[in-house]
Amino acid sequence: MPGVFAQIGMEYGHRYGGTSFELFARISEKNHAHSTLNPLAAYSKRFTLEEIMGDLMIAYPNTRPMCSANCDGAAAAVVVSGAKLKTLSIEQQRRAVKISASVLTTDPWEESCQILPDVNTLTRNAAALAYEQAGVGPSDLDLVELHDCFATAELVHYDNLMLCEVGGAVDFFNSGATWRDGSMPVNVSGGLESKGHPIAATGIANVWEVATHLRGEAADRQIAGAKVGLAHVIGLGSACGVHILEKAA
Amino acid sequence: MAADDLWILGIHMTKFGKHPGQDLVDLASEAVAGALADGGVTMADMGVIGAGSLMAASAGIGQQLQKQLGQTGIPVYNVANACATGATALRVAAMAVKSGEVDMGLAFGVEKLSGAGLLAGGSRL
Amino acid sequence: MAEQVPLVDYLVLGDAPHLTAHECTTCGARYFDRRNGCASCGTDEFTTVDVATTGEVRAFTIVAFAAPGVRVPYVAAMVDCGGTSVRANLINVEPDPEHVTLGMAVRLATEVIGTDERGTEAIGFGFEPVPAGA
Repeated sequence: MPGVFAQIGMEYGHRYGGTSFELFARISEKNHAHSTLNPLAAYSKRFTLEEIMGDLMIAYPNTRPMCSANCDGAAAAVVVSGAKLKTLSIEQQRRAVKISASVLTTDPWEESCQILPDVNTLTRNAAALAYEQAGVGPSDLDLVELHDCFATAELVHYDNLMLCEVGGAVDFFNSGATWRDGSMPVNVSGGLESKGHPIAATGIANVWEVATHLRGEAADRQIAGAKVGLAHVIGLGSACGVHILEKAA
Repeated sequence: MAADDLWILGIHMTKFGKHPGQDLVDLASEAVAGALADGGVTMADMGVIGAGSLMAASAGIGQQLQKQLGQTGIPVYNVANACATGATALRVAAMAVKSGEVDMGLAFGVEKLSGAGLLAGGSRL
Repeated sequence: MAEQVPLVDYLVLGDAPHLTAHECTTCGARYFDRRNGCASCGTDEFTTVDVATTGEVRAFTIVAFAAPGVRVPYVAAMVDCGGTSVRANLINVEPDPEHVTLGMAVRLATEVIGTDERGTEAIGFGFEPVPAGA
């Protein structure tokens, strides 16, 4: 799996250029830096670029810190209809977070899709459906928690989730946009690389992260004024889940 | 809010990391109890459960959770979609609420991967 | 006497061996296994209670075919101990329908399941027929 996602990142670089071992390592550097503000992360240690690039190579160009962390964990959510919510207390209504999009897709057939899994099309499809369901566009997002199972995966999802223009993921990252102080904070939780990836829990844990910011309860790592966020996961096989959440008005 | 909107009422995640003293059901119970408390509701208010755990894929993790926190007889959908399992569980609860079949649903995902070896976390008795 | 260890943590050894259960302080439901909460009422406070050592057989089967290493035939039963259902084997009785009957009065009995190199004995439990006139 580190190998497959390494190939996926490399394939993006082959198509659009601009990728390198260092670029992918800098994505990991961002996520580990973000994690230092997250008390629930499995690892909340800052890594320098040299440390990341010098660490144990798992599947080039993914070194160990660039891979999602195996760990234990669980996440749960209670979902309610608007009609029912209106009958609950003011406090319950105040803290409720709207799910304005909830989408699941699988991978449609394409040439070579059974040689190298295509994680791009199904993610782009899920994102498009989600934006349509929610009636928002990528520029409306205040934060994104996406599936950085490996640092190489995060890069392609900038493009797949339409956070940048097609082919523009490298420039987008290099602009600093996806750091927590950038225009599109990505994985302020630390992402799967440092928060951890207890597989079945992740899809709800990243919704928790977004919801927590929308509730204004993210403490030190709060993205100020967050109103709309997107949570994305993708499993090989494949299946992609995208949720868009909005703060209660 | 429109009547057919979908909302997260309560949500909770455990700290991620090594939890040697907690098995899958302990972790799931912590997350579910946390989400219910966060929403100010109880298991009796839930109309459906979407549950996922890849390590326990064949073991009915939804029912194992019910046997600890409340067997209320509601439908349980144990789901698996690799790394998208959590989102799939959430989709189950969302679909049930959106369809009008229930007005409140629970979704959870749990995994033990630290030291994943022989018994991949095992079970405490 | 050799050191003895109960096979399960809800079996208490000693002069008067008996089973204990977690009893929900809200609704009284009883459980033998690990608890995160009460499956009946959802609250999570329990006390430990002793379970009656006598009961009646509510259901049984005579297992005739099992995994290699497991001695057959044996009687697997559900025993009602004064309102608490217990899953156990019936021991010290001929494992056939002539000797095992529904509603039969039984009592808790312990037996050595195995011994390790140091001589420590693992003690399991089952239920045996209450002798007539006892």
